Amino acid sequence: MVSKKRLSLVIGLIGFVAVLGLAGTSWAQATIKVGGELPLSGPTAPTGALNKEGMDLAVEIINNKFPGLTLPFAETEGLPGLGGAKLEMIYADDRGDPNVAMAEVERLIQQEKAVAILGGWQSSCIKTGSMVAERLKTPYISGAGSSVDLTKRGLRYYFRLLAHSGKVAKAYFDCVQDMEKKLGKKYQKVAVAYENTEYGSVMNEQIENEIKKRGYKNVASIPFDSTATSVKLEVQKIKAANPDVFLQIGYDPDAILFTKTMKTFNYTPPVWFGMAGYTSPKYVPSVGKDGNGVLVSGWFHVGFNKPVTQKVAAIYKQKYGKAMSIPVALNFMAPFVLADAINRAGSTDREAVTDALEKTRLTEEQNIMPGPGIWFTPKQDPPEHSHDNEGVSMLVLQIINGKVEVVWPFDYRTADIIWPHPSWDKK
Amino acid sequence: MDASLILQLLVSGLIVGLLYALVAIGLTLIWGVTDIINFAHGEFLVIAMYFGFWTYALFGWSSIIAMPVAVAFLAALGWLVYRFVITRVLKSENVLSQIVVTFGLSIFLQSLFTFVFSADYRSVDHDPWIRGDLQVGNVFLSVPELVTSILSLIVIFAVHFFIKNTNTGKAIIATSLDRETAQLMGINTDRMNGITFAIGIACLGVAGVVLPVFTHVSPYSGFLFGVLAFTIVALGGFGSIVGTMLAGLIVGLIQTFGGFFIEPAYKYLCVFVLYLLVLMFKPRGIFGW
Repeated sequence: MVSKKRLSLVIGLIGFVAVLGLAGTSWAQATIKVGGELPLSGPTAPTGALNKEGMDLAVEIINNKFPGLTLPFAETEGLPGLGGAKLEMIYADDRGDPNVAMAEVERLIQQEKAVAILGGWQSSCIKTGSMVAERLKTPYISGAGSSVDLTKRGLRYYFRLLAHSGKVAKAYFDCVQDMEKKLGKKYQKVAVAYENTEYGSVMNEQIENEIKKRGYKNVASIPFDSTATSVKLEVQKIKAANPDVFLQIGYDPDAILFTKTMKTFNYTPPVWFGMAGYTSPKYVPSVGKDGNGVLVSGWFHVGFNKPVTQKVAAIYKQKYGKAMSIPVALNFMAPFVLADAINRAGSTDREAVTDALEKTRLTEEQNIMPGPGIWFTPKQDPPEHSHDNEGVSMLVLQIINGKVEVVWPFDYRTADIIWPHPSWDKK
Repeated sequence: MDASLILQLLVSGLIVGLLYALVAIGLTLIWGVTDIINFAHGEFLVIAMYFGFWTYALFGWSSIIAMPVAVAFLAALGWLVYRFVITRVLKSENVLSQIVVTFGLSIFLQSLFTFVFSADYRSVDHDPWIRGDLQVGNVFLSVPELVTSILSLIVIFAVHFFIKNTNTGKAIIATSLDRETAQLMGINTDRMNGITFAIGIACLGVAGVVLPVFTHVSPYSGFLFGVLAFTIVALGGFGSIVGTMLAGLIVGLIQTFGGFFIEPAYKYLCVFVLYLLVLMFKPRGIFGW
């Protein structure tokens, strides 16, 4: 017969261990698995690597204390609404291939049990990756992906942060018309060379809309393969068309190839716009001063004069030893948007998170990108935009002396615009 | 339309045609002599391209310095592939295995490149010697392209001279004409096959090493070159070096003129339409025998 004293001691011990065990469960920090789909290899790999840096930095800020930073959860460690739960990024390489993107998103959701998917860089991969996410009822937030069509599919689970190509085209032509006023000129002829997947084709459509609206003349619209080994014919056709404004819409390999080939043909148009490929970290090192003068889509600029932007740029510079660039910034905000939604939902239930995402309202101070904040259009039937970020503003940048500067809107400039495009010997 | 535009297109077409011709020469030799269709031909070109890139990236070599090393390396590789891969299927009665083995080699090499070098795109952006652009009148061309074309032309003539004028070359011709009779005449046909493979793959060393200077290399870069090489060999006639060279030039010109006057996006379509027409009306090729 066990004595009362011994029995109560044993019960007390069991109870103590049980309490420790339970307390241990809540102490063991819950991590929220988040899938990151990026081109970590392939033709756009240099840009994909920068996207990853942006996401990693965002997660680091969310998971740790960064006092004085006005981004969501910078002041806390993890999500306060979920007991300090932290985000954990699990990356998958889509290789710039839309088929691989589908397979990888499926793997992230089904096998890795990711609560949501962030990222994508190429519109073609985001399009297919988000289709899989939709089928698996999982939120997919893309900080990149310029194709207008991405948000015109009436999807419930897809959210896009970037200013889409319609807004980019508008900014480009607003810039051209501002310069026309300034110089007392009127340009007539516009030519476009565009890569032939989702991103380039849709941007070409947007440019054609602007050309029609503003009374310009389209003298050449030339599709090309971004992975092509030569663009000599394309350049010759553009040169023969003799446009006033030339827009080269492509990715990393072709931005470099076009620049080199246009130099071979000693050809520069009066106005030369580039897009995604010119924001690649490989571009300036590859072409050197030959890249000077190109005007680039400014979704972000490290010199943008907002306190939160400057603070984050400094943190990034300290961590990575270089200036924050567009590919870093684009997917930087995605983890914050997701964390904010999860926190408001109070759970990682995908339906609750998606409902919360729809109600996102981040302010100007909570967002490093130009624009009044982040909020989404409601889910609507096509052709209206579903879950497109309305709080964006576009800048136009220019590569000047190997550095990227803001040149438009003029009020935000970090350098004076160089216009028209300099000839090769004057770069 | 002015004369300088036509001249420019002519020059561009001939430059790219010479490159294609050199790639195809190797293929036609191998095919004509050994009866083996080298489906991995494009991938061997990619080996040469990576050679040019990595000697630059790791040692700062100009592509022109890397070239003789690449040629020696690829010649040895060609011989080794013949000795250890091709000889096994030559013994086999099964013609299908002869076709499939180089196809398998092609897939293996593409995957190997992806595994070892990753799928990233590489280019030689600042070659120490082979760089710059030229303007001759109203014709524009880049120095790396010109160098590649001139070297291609030299090598094509060297191979042609070798085949026609040396004893080994004549033995190779004999082997391609009638293997059994050649053996009866005392020619070691197995050795001739090995030499042919070595020469055929070595040609790619000249063609491929400078390519990363004016374009880029990735694991799948070989596919298009391989397909065009087949088209050129079929157009020019199997085993005919002169025929292959002329066919290469024709393909280069069709691609350039067709691409410019129709649409750049259709440049290869023009080439393949020509190919289909030749197949229909002259299946032995333009210069075929």
